[in-house]
Amino acid sequence: MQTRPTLTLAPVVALAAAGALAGCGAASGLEHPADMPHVSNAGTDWRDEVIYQIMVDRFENGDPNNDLNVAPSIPGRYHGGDWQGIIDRLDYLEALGVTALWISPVVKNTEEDAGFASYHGYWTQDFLRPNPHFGDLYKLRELTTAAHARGMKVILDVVTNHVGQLFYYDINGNGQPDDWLSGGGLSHTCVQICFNPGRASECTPDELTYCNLGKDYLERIIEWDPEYDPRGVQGWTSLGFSGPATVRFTDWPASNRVPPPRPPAWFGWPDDKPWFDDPSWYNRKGRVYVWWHERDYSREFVRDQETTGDFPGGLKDLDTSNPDTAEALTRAFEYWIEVADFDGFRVDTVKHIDRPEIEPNLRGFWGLFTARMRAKAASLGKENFFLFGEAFDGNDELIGAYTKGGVDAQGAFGRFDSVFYFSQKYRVIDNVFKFGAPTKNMECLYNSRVGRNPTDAWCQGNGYPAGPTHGGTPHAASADGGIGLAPQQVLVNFLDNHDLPRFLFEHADDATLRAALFYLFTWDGIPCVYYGTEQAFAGGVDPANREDMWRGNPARGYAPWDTGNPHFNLVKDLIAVRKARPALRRGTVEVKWATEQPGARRDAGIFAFERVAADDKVLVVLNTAAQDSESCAPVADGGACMISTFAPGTVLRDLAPGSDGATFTVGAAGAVTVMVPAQSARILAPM
Amino acid sequence: MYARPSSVATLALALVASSAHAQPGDDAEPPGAETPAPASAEDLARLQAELAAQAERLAALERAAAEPEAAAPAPEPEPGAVVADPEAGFRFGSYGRVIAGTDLRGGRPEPVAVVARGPRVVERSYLELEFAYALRAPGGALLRTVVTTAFGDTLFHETGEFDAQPALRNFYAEAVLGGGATRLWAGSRMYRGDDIYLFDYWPLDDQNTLGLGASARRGAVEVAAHAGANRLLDEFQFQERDVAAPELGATTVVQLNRQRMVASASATYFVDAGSADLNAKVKLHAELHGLPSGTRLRGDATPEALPRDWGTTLGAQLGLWGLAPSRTGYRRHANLFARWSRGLAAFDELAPPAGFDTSLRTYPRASEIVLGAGANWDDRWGHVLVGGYARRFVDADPNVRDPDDGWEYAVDVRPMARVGGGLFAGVDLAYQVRFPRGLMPSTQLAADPSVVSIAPMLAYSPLGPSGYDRPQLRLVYRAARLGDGALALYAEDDPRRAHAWVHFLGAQAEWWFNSSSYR
Repeated sequence: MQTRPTLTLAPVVALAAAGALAGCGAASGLEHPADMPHVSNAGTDWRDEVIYQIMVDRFENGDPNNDLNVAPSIPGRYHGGDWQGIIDRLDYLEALGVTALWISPVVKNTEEDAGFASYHGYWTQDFLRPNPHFGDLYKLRELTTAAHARGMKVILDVVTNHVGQLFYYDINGNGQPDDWLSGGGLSHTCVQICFNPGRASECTPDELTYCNLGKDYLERIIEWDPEYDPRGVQGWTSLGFSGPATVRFTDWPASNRVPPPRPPAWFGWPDDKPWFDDPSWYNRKGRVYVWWHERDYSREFVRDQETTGDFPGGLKDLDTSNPDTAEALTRAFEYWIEVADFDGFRVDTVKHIDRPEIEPNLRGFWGLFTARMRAKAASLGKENFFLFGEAFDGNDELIGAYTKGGVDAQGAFGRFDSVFYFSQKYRVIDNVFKFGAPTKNMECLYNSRVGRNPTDAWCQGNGYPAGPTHGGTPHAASADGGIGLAPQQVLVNFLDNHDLPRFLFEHADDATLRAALFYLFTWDGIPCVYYGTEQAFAGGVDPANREDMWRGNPARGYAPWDTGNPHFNLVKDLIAVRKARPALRRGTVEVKWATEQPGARRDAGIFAFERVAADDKVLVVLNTAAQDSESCAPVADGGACMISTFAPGTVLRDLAPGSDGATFTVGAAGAVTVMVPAQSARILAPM
Repeated sequence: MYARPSSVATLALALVASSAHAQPGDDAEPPGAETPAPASAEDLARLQAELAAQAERLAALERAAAEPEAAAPAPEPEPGAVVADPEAGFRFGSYGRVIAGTDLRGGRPEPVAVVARGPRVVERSYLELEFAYALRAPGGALLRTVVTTAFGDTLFHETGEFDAQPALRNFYAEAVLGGGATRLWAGSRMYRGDDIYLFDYWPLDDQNTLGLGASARRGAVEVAAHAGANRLLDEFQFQERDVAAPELGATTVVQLNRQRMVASASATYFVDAGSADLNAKVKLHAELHGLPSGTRLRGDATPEALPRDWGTTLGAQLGLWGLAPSRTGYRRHANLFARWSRGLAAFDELAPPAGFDTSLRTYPRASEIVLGAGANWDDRWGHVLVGGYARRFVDADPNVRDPDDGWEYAVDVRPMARVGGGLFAGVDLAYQVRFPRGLMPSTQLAADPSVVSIAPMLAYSPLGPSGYDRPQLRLVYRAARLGDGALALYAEDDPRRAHAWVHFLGAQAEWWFNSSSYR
């Protein structure tokens, strides 16, 4: 009888013990990613970094289990890349020599829109949860931790301007999203105001221009993405107008086109406050149409559109002037710093929020956001948190305004540490390297940036502002989460990116690319390489420029992850030279030669500059032309040659990758004549 | 009161004694034989009546022997003809459970589980109807066909839909040879051993395949083996697509056709000491799972190669039973299970695997460990059912921190006291918990989903005293408390997420008889 209880209860006791043991590994005992240590980045100088831009979905598929809805043959769909894939390829990236990874957005997106998928990550649906196509929080943290272990930084691409296509404007009130409204016509402001004899006086000149120029495209009204209406998208039927159009969020769970869910309890968002599922958090004015300061539009009208209009594709514009909206966005991205230990943010569409070029002392959203990000980083012990914005515009003053601080009643405030240098992309990378414009453009743009030689007639005549176009003082010290460097010193240089055709797609060959790469890695600022450049990818406009890295480059005969091809080696060697020479990273810039004349001549395509650091000095002589040129004026122009600051008799040796090892002896007064083969460069330093 | 036995009585007693103890050539005093006690008048009368009756039967036999032509000739079996016997013929069996009640919020009652196998105190209605027919072949082999149809919980009186979709859970033929010592079968079969009743869970050997098998018992050892396959209508194993027909139009072809092969073998050693003593068995079990390679097409028609995969299982069971004389009707047992699987075998064969490594394989990274126990103890006061298991699952994906991975366990005990007649009163107490090694997708926090439940009940089980006697009618109230982690498993917009307490009040009925799967 004594054994009976043993027979029945022994398993229970054993199981309870097993359960208790299992409980030792309980999930609640897991260290949350937000609680893991953060790297400090103390001592970091962002000028030392080489950024490598990764579109996560296209880089490497490291975990097939998150291949949800992949269609690898369709450029506009998910292909399967993920954060595990990046982890798996850190060896490759380390071999290339890049030091900072810029990864595409990580937040949960609407799944698809008009047949396209959100593989790029820019269609936010939920600001607080990771995109399951790429992994989970632990995987993201594993990525940053693994990168940090190799001395690499990780920059997150964030979007605060808009969300995905979460709602439509129910213009005709039928409760369904119409692609083409019956009886569609001009934008309602045009019909109701400008072309209405009784109210025409209310129509501004810009609106009248808009209505007159836009007759063709305004003929069609799409409730997903109606064109901009300064008074807000209006409800309308063939019988007339009915006031502001009703906003209807879609409820399509299968494609994750549902209203953003309320935040989890730990976020601490008050229950009585609205959230991103509230229409009042959006500007609701319709789609930006006028992108550039074109024709007869006033600057204000264009900027009104850009800053309050929806982003094309029905991406709904958030009203960041709403304090609640701004607070929610700010707290959301503070969270991402904490949970994933990012080292910086690349911020999308910054020119679509605030107008610092018009209102420099209005703190606006960016004044708040950038300060809070730095403070958050500092609170986590992170120094040198790098914030650079994407202002997709060739207007150097406009994009530079986002790097300048301001002063308001609360005191001084900052903005971005840097911007993606689009003005350089258009005026130098394309105009000079691809189209043979004079290299004087490079000098002018630099002078504008720092405010040097403001009276240069050639520069003025070619539309370069006197400057300084970009911020000249640091926004915050390193210990305060800033980078301790002036924006002028850390602009992010690039040849191409995910929004532009790849450099090699048009008007360029390998030689052109070679010359541009020399510039990228020797010029002042932070070089940024778009993934696949080192594999000679040559895709056209989006989405063709978002190739699958793991497929290699069959057109060139490059196997996947080939580290032996000439393109890879050129990038790798240039990075190595940059790392080896402090002057190339942190040195001051003195332009020593630039051509003002296009076409064939002795110095065609020559652009020479010295970079001087405390204990290093390098002379770079670029030749952007398709001919061998040298750093001297044509004889007909006097034949003067470049004057360097090196002492006479100094022998300069070419350190450039692939160089013939040529040496050049500095002559009297520092004169030096340097012949550079076509579309190449010499990186000269004393022997 | 004592009278000397008559000669007739003495003869009768001698016959009884002889028939009970005497053996040919054995003239020794039978063990335990005693000197007849003096008989009473009543005894004598009874013995005389019995003797008279025997004399009548003897006379009848003698008459029959004297008139052989009047007796029916015994039939001579035709070569190849079958002979019906008690084991042969039609047999109808069934397992069923039906649940009726409310969640006390006006809704349909729902089971609550955060583990792979939750307590069954509230589970969906289910019905099996089994039809078997057995034939005895010359030479003694018994041939039995078994068809079991099963219905889910789409009950007409619940949905109003005049519709049901039965599944064929068994569809096989079996040959029983050597008086049951050897069995051969082929067909579609749920093929399994012992369960943990309180979880409706067969933790060691629960296979569902189309195949064949054999078992043989020699002395105390029984060995069994089976091999089978399935091809689930899942994109992992099966895919059809339309292609251009040779002449015109479209024709449908099978693009992906992967059968999962499952082979199992077991050996059981029995220690059979009789019903009043402790009996035991030790069972060793092994499985081999295999899945061939194949190619399926994604939505964009690009091919995706699925590589060959396989898996293994090793398991063991210790079973104890007995300690209850058969006349009591008590059924006392305890089973301990242990099972370790790797690769494909870590996934139920009726579900496609998930959580692959980078080459879309599960072997060898995926693994499952199960430790389980089930027991029942019947006694005069009632009975107590006990169940519990612990399970650790790790998939093959490269994620170290993964909510799919981790331990879980569940325990359940159901003591029932006999109130009188066939009525029992008791309670079902259960606890289940998971320890996922990752974050909850909805909250982005780590949590251990858990549920504790208490279910007082009355059970009417008139056919016997055992916890395993059926049919059984139950009146049950179940209150389950879901922890925050359990609530977080629901989708954000799932109304259930608002209810930490989940109730059930209602009636249940459960039966099994003549079932090949439930005894």
